Amino acid sequence: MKHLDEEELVLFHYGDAEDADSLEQHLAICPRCREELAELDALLEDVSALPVPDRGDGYGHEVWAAIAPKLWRRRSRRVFVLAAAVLLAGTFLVGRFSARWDAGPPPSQIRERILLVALSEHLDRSQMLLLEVVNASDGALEPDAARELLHESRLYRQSAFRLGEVAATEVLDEVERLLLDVVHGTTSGDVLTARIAEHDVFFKIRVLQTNVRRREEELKAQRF
Amino acid sequence: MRPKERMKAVVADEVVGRARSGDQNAFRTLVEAYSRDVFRLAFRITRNEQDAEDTVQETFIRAYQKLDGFEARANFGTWLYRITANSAIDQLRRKKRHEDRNTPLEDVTVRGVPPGQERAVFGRQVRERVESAMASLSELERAAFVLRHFEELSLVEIGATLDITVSATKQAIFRAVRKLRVTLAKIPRIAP
Repeated sequence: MKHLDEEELVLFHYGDAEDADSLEQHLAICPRCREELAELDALLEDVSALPVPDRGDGYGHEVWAAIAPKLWRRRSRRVFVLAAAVLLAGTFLVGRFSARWDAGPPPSQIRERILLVALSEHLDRSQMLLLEVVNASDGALEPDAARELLHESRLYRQSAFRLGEVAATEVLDEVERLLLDVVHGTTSGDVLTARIAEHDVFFKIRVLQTNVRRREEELKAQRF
Repeated sequence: MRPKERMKAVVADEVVGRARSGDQNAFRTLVEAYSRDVFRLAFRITRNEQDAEDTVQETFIRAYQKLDGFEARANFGTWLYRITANSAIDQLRRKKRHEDRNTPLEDVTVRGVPPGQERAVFGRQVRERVESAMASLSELERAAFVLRHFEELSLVEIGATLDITVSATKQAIFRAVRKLRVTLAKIPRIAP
């Protein structure tokens, strides 16, 4: 007589067994399997008894109050990034944004400062996400956060390319490819970590950040 | 048989449609209608109130970002299930990086307890053992088990929710039940 194995018992308990009839026939004549099933039923009944804290009727209202400002901030950030990219392209058209960083009239300086602040923040956030990748020992990555950064990074990279900012384009391209892999989830954390180390990505980001901040300081000084 | 515990909230398709069009008041209606269901599922997977609260917020923020991709023909509750389960798994993984969740609980002894309180103490001991057993499951095992045992989703639905095959779903549930059996087998039972 073939007894039910553990997997068959579990499938039978949950009503998922494809051959339920034959298992039932066996259970009808086999006290040992009936006892096993009864033990499993009792054990899972204990699990069912685990309490869940009650949340009152006003809970939905509390959740909304907590998330509404975050939704607004995220939407505002997206608008800001898009505006920054448009400004960057506009600045390019009037020929004010270049590697020489020549002083321009106040309106273009204001635009440039906005862009530098946005780019600096983007680099900070990209660096933090890549640090998460390196530190994720279990390979758990953040595809949603990466997707948002990827979109921004693409805008900045395209703008930098149009401006002939070769170094910035290369760094943003490198970051973009890493973010793309995090979004797709097809590359393991270990492989990404190795790539980050091999290409000195953190170092390159820091160099770019330093240049961006230096330029910010220069623009601040030119105001006086 | 336990009553079905799937997403119980019922919201008109028209509200979902308005939310998809960017109507923030409509999205607010969805948040208010589904928050308790989302919390219940999040808590069952994370087994921690703060983690469940964080998961609830993350779930609705992700849902808001992904509303464009939600197909009008689909069931909003089922779609939200998927986001909740995956947000809970991400929450557990983030937490795992910072602490060891599998610290075994101290044995609770019932020696010296007056007879009238014995059952209550025994019940607490069982609960603590079950909590400890649940903590020993991997994130995937826990999510698959919770979706089958508590939420009574079919194997196909669980596979779709967790983005794994039906075979992998079965294996995750088998492993979960096996771990629970090993941990809980030592609990003596008292007569009702």
